[in-house]
Formats: sequence, structure tokens, C-alpha cells
Amino acid sequence: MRKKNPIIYAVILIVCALLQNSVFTSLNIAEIRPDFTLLLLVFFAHQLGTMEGKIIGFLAGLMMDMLGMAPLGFHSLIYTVIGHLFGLTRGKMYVDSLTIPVIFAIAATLIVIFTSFIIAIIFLPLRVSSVLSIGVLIQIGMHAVLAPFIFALLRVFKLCSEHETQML
Amino acid sequence: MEGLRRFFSRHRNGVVFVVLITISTVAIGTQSQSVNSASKHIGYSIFASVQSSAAEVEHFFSNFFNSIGELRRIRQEYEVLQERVNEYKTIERNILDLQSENTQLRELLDFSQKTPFSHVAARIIAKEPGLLFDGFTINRGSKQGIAEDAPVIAYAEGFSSLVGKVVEVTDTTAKVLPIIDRSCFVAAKMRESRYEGLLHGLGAADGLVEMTYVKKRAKNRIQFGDLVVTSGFRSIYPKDLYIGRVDAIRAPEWESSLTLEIRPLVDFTRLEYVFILLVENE
Repeated sequence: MRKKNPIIYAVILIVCALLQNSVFTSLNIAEIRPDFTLLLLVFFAHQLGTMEGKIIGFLAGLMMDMLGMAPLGFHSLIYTVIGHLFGLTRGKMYVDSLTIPVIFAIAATLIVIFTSFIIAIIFLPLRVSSVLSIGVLIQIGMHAVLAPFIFALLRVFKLCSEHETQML
Repeated sequence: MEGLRRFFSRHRNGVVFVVLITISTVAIGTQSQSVNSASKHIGYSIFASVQSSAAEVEHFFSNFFNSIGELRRIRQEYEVLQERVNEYKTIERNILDLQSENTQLRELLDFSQKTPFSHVAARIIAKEPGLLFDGFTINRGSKQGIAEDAPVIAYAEGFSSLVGKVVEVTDTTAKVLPIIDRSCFVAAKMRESRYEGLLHGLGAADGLVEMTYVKKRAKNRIQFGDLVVTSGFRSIYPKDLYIGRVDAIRAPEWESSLTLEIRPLVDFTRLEYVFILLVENE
């Protein structure tokens, strides 16, 4: 299987993290915004594997922490976990155009919620209730809807392919 | 040392994961109590300008595309407003027409109240289309007491001016022969000098009437603009109804009388409402 250049993915992901809070702010439903960086990270990690996945996840998370209101390390920890877990799927799953992207998006969002909840319980007890709000469901829905389109877009730019299967 | 290196190379993936998670966790642990921290501030200082520039670029493009949408919306609004302006113009025209009609009707009402004759007001509903004949139809007939030969007058220049006479009557309409028609004859006289004559029309093309059989000695006492009125002498028309003003005086040597061209006070081209006098009822 041809190895992808992780630097390109890292740059794209970091730029996305950079732009997410400034450029894409108008894309929202009831002030709940989709996490494009997360969705990209899921597909990129699936393409690159665990090592590259968690590193680009860490860097993107670090960028988001620096530009956002979250404490440094919050997103970097979550995205490291996401990059690592979805990197494990590399070569083990056939990603179709619709179902797997939707499942990936929902699973990633649930992992983010769970990880955020754990971090909030340990470090940010005042924000526990924010993690378990109705907005979470809206975000899950948004990610599920957007995931196939983003995956299709990545395929157009040859950043993702659906035939990355590995014969075990 | 060699064992540690072997461990790292064997568990490289897991070690990196643990390191990254540890860094993040330590960072959260040390900074969860405060939004601002030195390390975060450094990173923020570096990337905030990039973020700001990106936001500016986004703002520019957003404005650009919004402007296109705005232009389309303004064009649609312009078309809607243009239609509305056209509607208002039509309404304005209607209002002006109504105002003009209102003024005219007020004058007619005033005239109607002041005129000493019993009368019926009528509106002209049809006019003779050809050049050979002059005449018009009014919307009042025998049901309203109108009879043949009834004099027809109108309000013009502040006077009760003669229009013509009724020549044919139905239940609801009547035909009027105007004084400008060549077959209409009216006994008339000069209002000031009292010289009499016989007046007949010269046709709608000229819009004039001619007064004949005026004595030649009246020549020096008649001036341009003098008023001509009905004489009432053995006539269907009441006495002293205004007809018009002297427009020209002809005094051929081979004739024993003067011929006067009279311009009627009534402008027949713009006549809309008339009054039919109920002379027999007087």
C-alpha cells in the first residue's frame, strides 16, 4: 500500500484548525458548529495510521487550544486519542461513500464527548454540564450529515480513497 | 541503555502515544485553573495574527459574495419599486382626473344653482364622428322631461352660454344640434348695442358661427370681442343667453347688412356636461 506524505495532511489539518474559529463561524445551527478538524482528522488518521494520526491530531489540537478558550492540552489530548484510534482502522476497513463515513463521524464525536467528559470531571468540573447538553446531539447530527460530503471532497483531491483495505 | 533503546524501538507507537497524552494531561492540569498562561499566550501570540489575517480574507470574500447577493436583491427590489411607481403614477393620474372632474362639477353645480331656468343636467355620451354633421347625444331623455327644441346651455367663461337645441328625444337619451352646425339658426343680438341678426353655424371644422342681417349702421358701434346673446324674439331660446364674442366683421359694399364672425363661448371640443332648459314648464 502506497504511503501517504503525512506533512501534507498535517498542514491541511492545522490550517483547518486555524480557520475553523474564524472563517467557518457562519456555518452553525443554533450556534452549534461542526468540528471540521475532527472530521478531517478521522479520515486522515484512517489514511495514515496510528503514529502519523496521533501526531497530526496532537498538533491540530495544540493549534486549537492556542487559538481557543480551552486550556492548552485539552484538544491536543482528545485529538491524539482520535488520531490514534482511527489510525488503527487503516487498512482494516473498506470505506464506502456513505455508511462508513457516517459511522466514523458519529463514533469520533462520541469519543470526543466521552473524552471531554472525563477531562471535565478531572480538571474542569464546572464544565461537566456543558459536555452533556442537547447541543451534543445536534453536533452528532451535523457531523453525520457532513461526513460523506467531506469524504467525497477528500477523494476528489486524492487525499482519501475508499480502497485502502489490507488483506489480513 | 541498550535495553531502553530496544524497548523504545519495539514500542515506538505506544511510547509516542503515552508521551503525547502525558504532555496534554500535564498541560491541562497546570492550566485548567486559568485561561491565560504563559505557554498558551506565546502560542496564541504567534498564531493570532494568522487567524486574524484569515478572518480578514474571509471577511473580504464574504462581503464580496454578499455584495453579489445584495445586488441581486436590490435589483429585485428596484423592479418591485418600479412597478409600484408605475402604479402610483396611474393613481396620481386618476387623482388628477378626479380633481379636475371635481372642480368642473363644482363649477357646474354652482352654475346650476345660480341659473334662473329650470333645467336638467346631462352628460354627453356620444359625438358625431364625421365632418359633415355636428351633433352629440346626451344621457337624458323624455323620462327626465326633455322635449324636442329644448334649448341646451353650458357653463363657459362664467356665463350661461348657448350650446344648441334638442332635435330628437328617446326615453333615456336625446340628440342635440349645436349652434356651430350649419343647419342651426338662432335669433341673436349684440349685448351692448342691441343690434339684432340671425346666427348660424359654420361647421365644427371652423368652430365658429356667423351672424348675418346686422344693420350696416351698426358697424361703428360693434367692436371685436363684443358679446352676442340670444334675442328671444319669436324663438325657442330664452332671451339673453350668451352665445359668443365678435371675432371678425365683414361689411361688403354690395350687401346691405353686416356679417359678423362669432366665436362661441363654449369650447365644443372640450364640452362634457350640458344643461337642458325646461322652457315649456316655465
